[in-house]
Amino acid sequence: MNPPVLIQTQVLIIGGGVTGTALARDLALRGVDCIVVEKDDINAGASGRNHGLLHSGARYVARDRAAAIECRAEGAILKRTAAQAVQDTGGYFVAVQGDDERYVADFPALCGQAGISVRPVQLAEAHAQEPALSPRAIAVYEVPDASIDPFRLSLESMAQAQSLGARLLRHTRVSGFEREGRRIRAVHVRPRADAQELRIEAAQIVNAAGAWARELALLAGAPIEMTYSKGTLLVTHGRLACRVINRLRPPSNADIMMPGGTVSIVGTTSTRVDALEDIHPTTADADLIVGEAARMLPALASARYIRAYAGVRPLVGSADGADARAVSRGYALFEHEDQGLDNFTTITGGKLTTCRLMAERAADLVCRRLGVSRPCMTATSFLPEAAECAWTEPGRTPRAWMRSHGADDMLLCECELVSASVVDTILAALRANGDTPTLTDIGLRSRIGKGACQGAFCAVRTAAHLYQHGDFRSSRGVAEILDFLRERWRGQHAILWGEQLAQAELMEALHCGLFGEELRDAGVPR
Amino acid sequence: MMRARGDAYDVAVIGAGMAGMAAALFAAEQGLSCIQIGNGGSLLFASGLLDLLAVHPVAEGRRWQSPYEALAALAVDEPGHPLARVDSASIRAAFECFVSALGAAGLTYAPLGERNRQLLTSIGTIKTSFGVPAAMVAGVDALAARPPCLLVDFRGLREFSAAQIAATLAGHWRGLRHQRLEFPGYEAAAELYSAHLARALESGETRRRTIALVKPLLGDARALGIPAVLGLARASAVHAAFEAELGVPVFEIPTMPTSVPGLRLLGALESALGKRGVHRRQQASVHALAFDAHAGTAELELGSVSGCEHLSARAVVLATGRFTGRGLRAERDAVRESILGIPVQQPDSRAAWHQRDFLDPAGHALNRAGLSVDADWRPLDAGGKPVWPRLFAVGSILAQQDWMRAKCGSGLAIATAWAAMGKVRTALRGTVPA
Amino acid sequence: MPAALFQTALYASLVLCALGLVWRISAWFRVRIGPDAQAPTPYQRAAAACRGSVSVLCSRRALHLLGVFFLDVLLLRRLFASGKLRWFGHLLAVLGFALLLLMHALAPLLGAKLFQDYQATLDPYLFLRDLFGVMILLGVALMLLGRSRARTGFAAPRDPAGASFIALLAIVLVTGFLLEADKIASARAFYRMAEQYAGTADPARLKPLRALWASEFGVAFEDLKGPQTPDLLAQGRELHDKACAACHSKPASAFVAYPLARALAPAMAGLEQGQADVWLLYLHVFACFVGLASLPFTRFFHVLASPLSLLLSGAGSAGEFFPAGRVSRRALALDACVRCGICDARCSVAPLARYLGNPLLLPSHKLLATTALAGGRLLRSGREAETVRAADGAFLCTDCGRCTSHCPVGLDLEDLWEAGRADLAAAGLPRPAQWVQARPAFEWAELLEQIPGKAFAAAPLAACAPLAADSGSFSRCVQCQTCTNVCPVVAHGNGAGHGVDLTPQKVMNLLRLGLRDLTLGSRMVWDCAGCYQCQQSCPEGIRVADIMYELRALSVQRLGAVRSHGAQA
Repeated sequence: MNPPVLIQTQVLIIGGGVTGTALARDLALRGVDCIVVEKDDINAGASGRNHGLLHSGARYVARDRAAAIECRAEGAILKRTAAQAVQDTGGYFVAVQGDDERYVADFPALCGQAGISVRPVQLAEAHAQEPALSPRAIAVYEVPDASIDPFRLSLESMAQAQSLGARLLRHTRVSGFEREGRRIRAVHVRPRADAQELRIEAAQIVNAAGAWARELALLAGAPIEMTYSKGTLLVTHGRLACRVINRLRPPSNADIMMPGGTVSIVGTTSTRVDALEDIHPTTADADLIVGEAARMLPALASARYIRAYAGVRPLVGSADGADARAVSRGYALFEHEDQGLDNFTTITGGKLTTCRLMAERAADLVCRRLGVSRPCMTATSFLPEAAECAWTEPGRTPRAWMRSHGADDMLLCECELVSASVVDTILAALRANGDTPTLTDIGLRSRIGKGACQGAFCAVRTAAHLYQHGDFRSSRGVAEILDFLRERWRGQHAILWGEQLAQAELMEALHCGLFGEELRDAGVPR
Repeated sequence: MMRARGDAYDVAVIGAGMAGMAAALFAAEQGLSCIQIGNGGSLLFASGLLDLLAVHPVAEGRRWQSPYEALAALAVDEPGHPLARVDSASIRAAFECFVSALGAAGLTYAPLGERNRQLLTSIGTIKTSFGVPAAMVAGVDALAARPPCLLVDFRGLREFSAAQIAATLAGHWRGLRHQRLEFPGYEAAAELYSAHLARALESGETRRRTIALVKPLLGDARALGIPAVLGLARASAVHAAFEAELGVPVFEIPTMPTSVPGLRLLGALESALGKRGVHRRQQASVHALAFDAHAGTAELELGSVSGCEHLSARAVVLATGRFTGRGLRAERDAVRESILGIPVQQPDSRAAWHQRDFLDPAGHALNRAGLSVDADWRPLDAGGKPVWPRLFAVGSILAQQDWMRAKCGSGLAIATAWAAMGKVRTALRGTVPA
Repeated sequence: MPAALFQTALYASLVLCALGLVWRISAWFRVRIGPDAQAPTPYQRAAAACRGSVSVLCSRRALHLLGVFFLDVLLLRRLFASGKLRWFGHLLAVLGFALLLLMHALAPLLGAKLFQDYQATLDPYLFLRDLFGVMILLGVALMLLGRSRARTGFAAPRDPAGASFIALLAIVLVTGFLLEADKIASARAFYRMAEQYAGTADPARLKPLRALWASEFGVAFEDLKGPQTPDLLAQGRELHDKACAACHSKPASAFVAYPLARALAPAMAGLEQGQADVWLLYLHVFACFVGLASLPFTRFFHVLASPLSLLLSGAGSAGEFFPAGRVSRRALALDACVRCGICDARCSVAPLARYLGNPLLLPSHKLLATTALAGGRLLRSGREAETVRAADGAFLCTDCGRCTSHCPVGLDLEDLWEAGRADLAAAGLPRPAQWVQARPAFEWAELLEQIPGKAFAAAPLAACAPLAADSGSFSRCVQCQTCTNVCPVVAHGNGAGHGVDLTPQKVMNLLRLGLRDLTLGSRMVWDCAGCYQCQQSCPEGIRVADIMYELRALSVQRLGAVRSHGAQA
């Protein structure tokens, strides 16, 4: 066994979600060298499985005013500094017949107290603006909600950090902490494909692994209490509303429908789970969401859903009983000094909207410990756009392609009109980072596979394209197509009825009926 | 087949996929007056290959060299499977009839024989099938013998990469080379479509230029593999020209939709049905189906963009397919049969419909949902009785089969259509024509 | 009325009429519509027309033409097919007019020859005269009613020729009735006649006669009001039989004039003093003369132009004409059109006219626009907006041919539209399919973003493009690419190296993504040949071709707004 390869840095960040990447950016802007280690890919956890809602804060005014105020402030910062990832769509809070009228009545005042601007909307105007609203709506308020693309946010944060010297190791799992006294001397990590273990020596280690922070903290010998809450979201075939539509009632299931550019995203649920493996949307989740959200937006009852996804919220603290909603959604910063560690930090919990603030707090702590006095810059410094990170935005690739494209630039994904040149840009960036690109990587950084066909056609086209480039060799293509389709399937099986089922049937007819990919010896003649 | 205008048809076939086409064909062969409703949608996705049975049991993924032996095993293990209820002699006869009708319409298949054949797919996997078009059969031999072989593809035909096929099989087929070509006349196009190429190759000029591009690349290759675009209506002539000019066996490789062999199948079947006097209503759907006990006929109300039509038939064959073909409709709570609401055998709840792993070896339980039929291929109502004495169901709408995993789609369609049509004829002998 | 004045006026009117006719008929050979009209001179066109007419009359078709004359011209078969109410009205009006003309206006020349023992004051002529007058009024009223019933939601185009004709007719008829009423009620006329035929004008001696005439003949005597004694009446009847009966029937059968006379009785004194009979007569006669003189310039001209058009239509298809002849036929059409609006009612894009708010899609309006175009009144500065609207209207025609097949006067509208479009294109107003190509689709979409949304509030998407607006129309798409594979436009474009910017599949996907505006200016939408292969072949039954057409219509509306916006900016 070869001795592990040694890498040295000032700060090791474990976790490549919105918090980890924001932290890398924050530290890089302060001139601190850091490495992000991520066991999967960017936003593999809750960061990539949320609504994409940039909260105005109005949702929390009744139960958690502090959180509401935090959201308001952070939302404004992100709208300014990361404008390219934000669609300032505005939002409505809508109450329907049968909803708690006292809550409705108290709402404007509570918003005012939290400094959140709210405007009552006449029902006629609301229906004219958003025809999908239920005729049973009884009250509508307008708030400054917005939609944010967490993938773009994380990818560009990481890209800026990398441009300032930070490093990213994807598909790299932490296998152990080397502890010496009150310090962790090194962290052992194991890349997925490679058997060679790496040893990373860092002055400070930050556990920003979201839901996995608990097992990492345990591994480091500084356990924390966390609750896991699974939430499922559904994606519709077309966009039903231009604004964020919230249910005006005490937070409950299926309260929110987000405009996702070209689709709508409906959810969510909150179910306590004990394990982080095998998280997937269920048919019960889907039925719950459709049934409940349809009361606010009747078209949802008959809409075509193209996929569902489920993530686990890291909630700090313990919850007795099944309802994990009651546990605070606020974030938690653990210094671990009372647990015998001086250079370990855990930052977890929280919301997408407050990721920058969480990163600032963690970075302040780490810098204090490092003796770095430079202040945080992220509240005012603009997030630079990176060419290869722009393609997760829905509707962007069709516009770009129609604006101009090379004469021989073909579309690899017809559903979302993603061209080969966009894929090439993403591939170049991945290769520049020393990675071997996979179809899933490309899917994460673009809209490939997110459209109606859910990869049935585009996976094949993209694989063919990668063979032409030499990125794929031997039977890798078939294996990649399989992985890609399996991954898309996780989001399919709970919502397969109606038109989407027909699409899935075609996918199986092609990939199993014709190509026989499910057979063990699919690629081997006998 | 004498039928005066306005009279009831002997049989109305609802559905124009593989099963519907086969049913209409067999009806005409038996001398029954037949009207077929629906468009040949699923045939557009067909690869051109006619599967009989390749995998059994599905959960094991065991592949069989002999479909008839597989059928025998199926009959023992899954007696409720539709294919288990058709005897081998009938299956042989059905396939022979089907394939010879295709041949007469200009679409030649290799002689059927007793064994399955293996050939390459466009992503480099191996497909096991039974009925192979003549234009593809050289590929079966090449895969078996593995001589030096050249695979070509065309830049712009996006779902097809010869490089991928060659790379995937590199470990097992050393002499497999690949080359990308520019399709003559389409050099300036970024995206190509298989049907356009197929039609273009029917022009002598394009054909000559394409062959001229390939010839110098052959080298020591003793076979040429090419995407399935060798002609549309005159496919045999185009294929023959290629083989003659290049001097080596040329085999087509089946592609993703839009599949030219599927279009050829559709064209050949439409021609075969047309020659046999089958009336057709494309892009029409059945809005209502009622049964007139007194007249002994089924009354169909058809709707299309242009209006409404009523017709009668003495027997009806439901060949409406599954979800893509809209013979079955899945709502959130249950699967329903689209036209008559015939009870659909199905898992208890939607949670059981699909496995979490797309490629779960057991297959998805929903795939086995469908209509239950009696020994005469008549779908049953809630009480277990035939919905109507002369209403029959064939093809993929039937329960207890998973055609996509067992690779028995065409076999299911052709065999059940044959068996059911025999029952149709028997049933009609007993009725007095109006 | 002095005979000299009458004669002079008559001949003057005739001369003016003749000159007018020459002018109008010559217009058929002068007016240029269509690019093929540039070459032939008016002389060549007239010569071609003569040759054509002669050759047809001498051919076997002459007999067919005779049939056309009877069925289409006289019996108005085509109008009967399209609007029975109007046909009936027209029949009434024509019969009434012709008979009135023959029996009354031309009485001095023809009356006695055609109508036995014609005497204006005798029955049945009293009755008939009023009957014919009423027939004309009723007929015109029915025609107007029929037209208003078939409204397409737009006001009928302004029609000075028709309006003036109806006005003149009305004046003639009304003054005629009034005149007759006046004559019936006039005491002065009575005295004049009595002097001539009864030998005296003495009111006292004529009292019995006067009494009779006051009570049964409607004369308004100042001193004889109210019912008369039977003895007096009997005396009067005796006198009447001797002196008057031979030439006078009871005017009660003049069922319009007589009640009118009764109604005028109280005012008769004043009217007599004001010489109402004189100026009514002058009015009546001069109205007729004005009508005669202006005949070529009022609707009446259709009596010449429309039968010609019907005969030409019956004589054979346009292709059989000498090219110069076809050109002249177009000019004739402008005169033969009677503005009945039947073409509008049958137009297949009429609903679109409503949604787009552009009446110039409708045939009757298009014809007027063509007239304006031919007269050089359209392509002038200051009239750009109207010209653009006319061009839009011209190019949204689907060439379905319904207007032509239903036109009661047999106009070859299809040919007219084609020629008009060519003229518009030559004037720099090409088909939308051409001006759309001036910019790529993306640029159009960007420009469209600058148009405020409420600009289209009056024509909402769901009305203009119901399929494209309803995501259910394309949500079933399974991305199989069949539509694109069977599309000959894509095949040809790719093969010829200029490609289309989108394919049918991409168009459907852009709609699904809510990026409809990107499709409006695309080549695919405009180059679509409408072969319907995509729609016919789609395994999911998506109406691809119908959606393409909707996008085209939507594009004209929305990109057209971009153009006008730009024109103003």
